[in-house]
Amino acid sequence: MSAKQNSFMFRRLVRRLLFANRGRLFVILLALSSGAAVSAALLNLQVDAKRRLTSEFRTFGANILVVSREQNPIRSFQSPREIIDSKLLPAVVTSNIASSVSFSYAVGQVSRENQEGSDISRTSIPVVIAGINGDPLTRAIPLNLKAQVSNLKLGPYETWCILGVRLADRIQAATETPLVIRLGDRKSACRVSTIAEFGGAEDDQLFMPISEAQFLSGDQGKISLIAIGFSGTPGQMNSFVAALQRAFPDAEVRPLREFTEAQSKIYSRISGLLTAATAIILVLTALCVMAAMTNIAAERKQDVGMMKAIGGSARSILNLFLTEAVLLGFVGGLIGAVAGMALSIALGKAVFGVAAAPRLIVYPISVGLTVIVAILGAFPLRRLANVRPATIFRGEA
Amino acid sequence: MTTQPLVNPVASLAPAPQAPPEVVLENLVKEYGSLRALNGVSFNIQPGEWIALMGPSGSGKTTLINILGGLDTATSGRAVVNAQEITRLNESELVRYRAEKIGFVFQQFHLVPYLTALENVMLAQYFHSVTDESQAVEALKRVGLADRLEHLPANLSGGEQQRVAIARALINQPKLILADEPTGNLDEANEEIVINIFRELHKSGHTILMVTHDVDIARNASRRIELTHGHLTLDTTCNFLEAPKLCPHGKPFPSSGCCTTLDSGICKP
Repeated sequence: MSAKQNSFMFRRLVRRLLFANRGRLFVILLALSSGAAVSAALLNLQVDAKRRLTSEFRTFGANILVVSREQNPIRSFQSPREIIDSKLLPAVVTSNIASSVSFSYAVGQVSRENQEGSDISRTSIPVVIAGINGDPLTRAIPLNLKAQVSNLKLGPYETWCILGVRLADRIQAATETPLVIRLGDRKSACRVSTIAEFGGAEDDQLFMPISEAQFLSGDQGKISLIAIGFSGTPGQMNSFVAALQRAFPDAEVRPLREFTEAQSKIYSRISGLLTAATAIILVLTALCVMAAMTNIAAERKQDVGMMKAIGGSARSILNLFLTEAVLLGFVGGLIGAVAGMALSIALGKAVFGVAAAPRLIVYPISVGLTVIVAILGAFPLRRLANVRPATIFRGEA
Repeated sequence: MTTQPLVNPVASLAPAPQAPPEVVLENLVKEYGSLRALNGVSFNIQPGEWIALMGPSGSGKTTLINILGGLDTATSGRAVVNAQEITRLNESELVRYRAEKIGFVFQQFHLVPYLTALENVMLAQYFHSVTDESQAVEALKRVGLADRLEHLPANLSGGEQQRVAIARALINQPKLILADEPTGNLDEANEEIVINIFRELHKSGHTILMVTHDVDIARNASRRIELTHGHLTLDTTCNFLEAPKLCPHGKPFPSSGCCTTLDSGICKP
């Protein structure tokens, strides 16, 4: 009962302290919420920058290649997913695989086909057949395979194929043109779904489902190359590469380090800049709050002297002031977090051209930092609570 | 080597001579840098005494009650209140001492401006132990403020504010009431109200040490002590109409019962 009465009185006192000067309350809340808004926005951008940069870099293509050596085609697995499923790669790194495509290469002949299935182009053209088990136009393929495509149309029962732009020109094929591909005595038919311009050797290649390519070459299960888009830190990438190398002892695993390192450098710079800006904002907020609290301390000097004179301990008086500071920080932090969410979206648009996705982890951190700033800003009140009452009454505090 | 007497001869003239003194001050010194605010002050206070502490500005009156109230520390000497040597208490013991043994009434009232009259009284309860709103209401009723419970200090007159301060000082039933010019900021009417409250307190057995410059206020006290430049220069139980009579051999004159000592307990025949 007594503890209840005292906690009721405590709450009553804190409420009175908070609303003792509404103008000052507004100023402190404004300072705290402004600081919280900017710091929340910057922290959100910082967290989002990593994801944003990673995805931006992934648009450039894969950053790890698993290449079969001359006499040792990759036989055991058709895709990294199978390797993952076989538990050869640790889950902690496999979770960073953004995408992957397996390739099986063969050299054959391609010619156009009429509706009855007879060869109408008369002459076949030698072609590099790239069997793939993923979408070659996704971001998983290497940088020089980046495609510019449109209107990918596939009938439900047709085998699709994608032609490099130069190959399409040579055989005068367009989208939906039926083609015949031959390798030795094996034959496969497909319909052109896309004409793609890669800007490299791929413009002379024909892409088709890996199973078809493997059927033509007669090497079921053989993979020539796996292109993996991996997002993560250089350390995570090294660990992943090592795991891949263990999973493919006969293949060569090539990380395209310049990608990861460039990404890491840019992220470090952006992250450092945002961290520094956040720290400066928080310090400035703390100074603003401290200035207001210094004013409050001057106003409350006599009150503190009296509280101590009637038996208030420094601790009990501090509890009141710190609770007041924590509440101010909490409310200011909450207001700031909401404002920061909107601000981060606007800043994200300005910096990356795309709104930054709100990261929920950022907001509790931002509120927590604001509470700490409020507590630090209450230093003048903390100092006052430790002064002897007679010193205060003599006007020496 | 001479030793100062622990008990002032005058103190033995107090109403209950057989009772142990409530306050014993022995050779109390307080220095602020090179300034000596109290210079070896010694006297005792018996339970139930009302002492008017007088003297010119800067004579050490406020310093003395600050030390007695545990608001400040002495440079040397002893101050014993209720058998507790406060000059040896650490900070946390001083906090308990102030909460439990002392009731302060200040000239400036020192009410918390953003707390109501009732909350100001309950604040003392809060720091002492537990709050009891009905007890606080009762304390305010006793000083005639039953209709001012929810008023902020800014909405109270000076006299009303001082009565709130008195209610706050009394709420924890302190042994000793220290009042530093409690009527200094009041008009005559309010002064009379406040002094009547102190009369009541004295009648009910409270020990009061009141700093005052006002002779009329001091007349209400049972004993008058004067300080000059940190020295005790007069300690008398005579009222202001009588010429101070130097007490013979530390005993009062039979005719008036009053007695005066000078210079810190030295009783002049």
